Amino acid sequence: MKFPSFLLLLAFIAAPAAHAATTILRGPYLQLATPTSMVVRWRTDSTEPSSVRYGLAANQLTLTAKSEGISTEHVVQLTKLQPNTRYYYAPVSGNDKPAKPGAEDGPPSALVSSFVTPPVTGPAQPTRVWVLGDPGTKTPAQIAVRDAYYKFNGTRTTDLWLMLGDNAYPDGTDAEYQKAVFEMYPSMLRTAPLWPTLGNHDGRSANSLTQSGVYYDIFSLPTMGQAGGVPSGTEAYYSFDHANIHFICLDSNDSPRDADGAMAQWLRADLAATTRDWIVAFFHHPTYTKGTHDSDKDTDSGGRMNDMRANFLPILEAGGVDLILTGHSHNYERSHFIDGHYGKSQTWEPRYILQARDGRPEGQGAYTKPRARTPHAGEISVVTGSAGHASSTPIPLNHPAMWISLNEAGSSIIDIDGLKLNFTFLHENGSIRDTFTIEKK
Amino acid sequence: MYSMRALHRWLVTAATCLGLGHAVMAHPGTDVAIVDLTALIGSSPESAELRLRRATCYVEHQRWSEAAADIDHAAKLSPAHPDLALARAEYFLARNEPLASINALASHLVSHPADSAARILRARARARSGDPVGAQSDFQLALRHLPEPKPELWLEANALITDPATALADLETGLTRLGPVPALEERALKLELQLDRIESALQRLTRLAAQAERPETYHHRRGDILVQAHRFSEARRAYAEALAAIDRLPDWLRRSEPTQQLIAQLTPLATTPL
Repeated sequence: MKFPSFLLLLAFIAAPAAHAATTILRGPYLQLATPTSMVVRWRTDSTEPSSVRYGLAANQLTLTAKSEGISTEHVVQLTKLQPNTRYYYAPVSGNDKPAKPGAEDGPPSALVSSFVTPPVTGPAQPTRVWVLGDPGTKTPAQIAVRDAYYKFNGTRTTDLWLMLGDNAYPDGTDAEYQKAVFEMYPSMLRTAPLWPTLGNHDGRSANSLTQSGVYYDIFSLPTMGQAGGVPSGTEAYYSFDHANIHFICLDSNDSPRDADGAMAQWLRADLAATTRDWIVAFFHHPTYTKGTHDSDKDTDSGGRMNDMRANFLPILEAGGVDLILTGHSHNYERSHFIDGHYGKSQTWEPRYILQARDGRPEGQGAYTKPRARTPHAGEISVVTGSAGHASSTPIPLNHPAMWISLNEAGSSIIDIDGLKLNFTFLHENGSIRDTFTIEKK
Repeated sequence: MYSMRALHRWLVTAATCLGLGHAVMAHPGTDVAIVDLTALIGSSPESAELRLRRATCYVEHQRWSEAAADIDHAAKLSPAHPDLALARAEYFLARNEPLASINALASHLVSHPADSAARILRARARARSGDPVGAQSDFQLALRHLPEPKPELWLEANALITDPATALADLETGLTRLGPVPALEERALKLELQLDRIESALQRLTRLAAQAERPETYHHRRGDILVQAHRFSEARRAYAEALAAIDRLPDWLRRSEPTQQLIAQLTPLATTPL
C-alpha cells in the first residue's frame, strides 16, 4: 500500500462521530452504465450532500464526484471513467468522510464497493448477464433463486443484470421495493448495473405517461441515448449498448402499443441505427405463453400480449432481433428458433420453425445465424418469469412455439463471447434445466 | 396531494375512454383486481380509497352502476377525499359524457391548478366535447408542469393544433425538451414538407444524419426530397453521401441483405443523371 493513501484512509477512520450517525437505508446501487460513466444511487436516513469517493483501489479513493443540493435520495454520476476498468467507490457523508471505510487490506467492506465499467462499445468482450423475471415475491423461492445464481456465478463478474418486471409484489410500492429488491440483492446492486422494465405490478405504483411513481423514482434510465441507441425521450422504453450487444427495453405495460405509435417508431429507428452484433430485447408481457398467463386469451392482461406479438414482434424480427426476454408467466418457456408467427397458437405451423433442433452444441447442434444483419433470420423467445416463484397449480405449458416449458422457479443467464451466445436456465436448486447456443457466422 | 397510484388510475381510464384505450393502457388484470379489492373492502368497509380503486376497475369493465355505487359510497365515507373529483370525471368521460366530466373537475382545478393528471383528464374531455382550444390550453399547462413529459403526451397535445406552422413550432419546443425523439422528428418533418419548407426539412435530416451511427437512410431521404424539388444534382450528391456512409460500415453490416438492397437502389440514383 502506498503511504499517502494509508494516511488518507486513517483520516477517514478518524472522521467525527457525528457523521457516523448517518445511515444508508438503501444501496448503493448502480445505474446507467456507460464505458465512461456510472450513476451511483443510495438513500440515507437524513438529508445531506451527495458525494462519492472513488478510485482504482479500495484504499485509494482519491477522486470525488458530487451532485447539487442535499437530499435523502442521492444520485451521483461518476464521469470520465476508463472503459473496462474496475473502480472502487464509497458514498460519503456530509463532511466528505466515508461513513464506514473499507479495510486497509483484504476485501472491500460493505460500503467500499467496486464495479467494472462497460468496455468500449462495439468490439466483442465476454459478457455475462443475469436475467430475473417477476422476482419480487420476498419468499424463500426468491432467495433460493438468488443464491443458486450466486453459487453458479462464483467470483466471476456479472457485467449487468436485467429485471423483466414485477420486481416488487404486490403493488410495486417503495416499501415493497425495499424488501424485494434492495434488501434481497444488496451485493449485486453494488457491483453490477441493473436495467429494469416495468411490469404490471410495478405499474400499480407508477405512471408511464407522467413518468412518475415508485419505479420512475427508483431507477435512472437513459432517455437521450446516452448509453447507446436512439433517444427515446422517456424512461419507459430505452436502449443501451454493452460491448457488441444492443439491449432494447420496451414498456409492454403502460405505454401505447399501437404499431405506429411513438414507441414503435422509436423501435424502428433504434433497430435501424445499431451496428452491434447482437440484439437482445426485453419487456414484461410475453408474445407467446401457455403458463400462468395465456397469450391466446384477448382478455388476459388487457390484450398486452396480443399487442406485443402483433405490433412489436414484426418490427423486432425485421430488425434482426436475436433474443427476446419476457416474464409475466411464472414459469420458464423457451421457443424453437422461430420467425414470422404473429397470431394465436391455433395458427401456428411448423414452417415458423427455422431450425428444428435443440440448439445445444453437444446435442443436435447450436442455432446459427448470419452475422450480416438479416431480417427474419430467426430468434429465440424466452419467458423467464419464475425468479420469484413457479406456479403452485398445474398450468398447460403447451404453446407450440415452445421447445421446452418448465413450471420451475429459476433465473436465466446469458453469456456472450464474440459471435457466440450461450443461454442457461438455472433452477432454484442450482441445477441447469435448459441451455441453448446461437452462433453467428 | 394525490398519490401516484391515484394519478395513474385517472390517466389509465381517461386514456382508455378516448379511444387510445385498450391499445394504450387498460389496467392489467382488472378482473383479478376487483376480486382482490372486494376482499379488502370486506375487511376494511370504511375505506373510501378502496372503493375508489374498485370504481376504477368497474369503469374499465364498463360496469357503470357498480362504479357509480362505489363512487357514491366513497363520497359518503369521505366527502373531502381528494380523489373523488377525478373519479367522477373519469367515470363520466368513460360513459362518453365529456361535459359532465369537465364539470366534475371544475372546482378541483381551481383549488389544484398544478394537478397535471386532472389537467390531462380535462384536456381529453374538452377535446371530446369539441373544444380543442380549451383542450390545448389544459395540455399545455400539464406539459409545463411535468418535469419529463412523455413523447406520447406531447404528440397527443400537438395533434390538436390545427395550424401547421404553430404545430411545427410546438414540436420544436418538444424536441428541445425531450431530445431528437423519432416520433416528434417525423411529425415535424411531415409538417415542414406540408408547409413547403424544403430547406428546413433538409437541414433536419442533415442534423439527424450527423447524430446517427448509420446515417445512410437520412441521406437517402434527403435525396428523395431534393428530387421532388427538382434539385437533381444536389439529390445525386445526397445519394452519393448515403453510399459513402454505407462504405464506412463494418464489412459484415455492409454485406447484410437490406444494406445490399439499399446499395442496389442508391447506386444508379447517385451516378445517373435524373
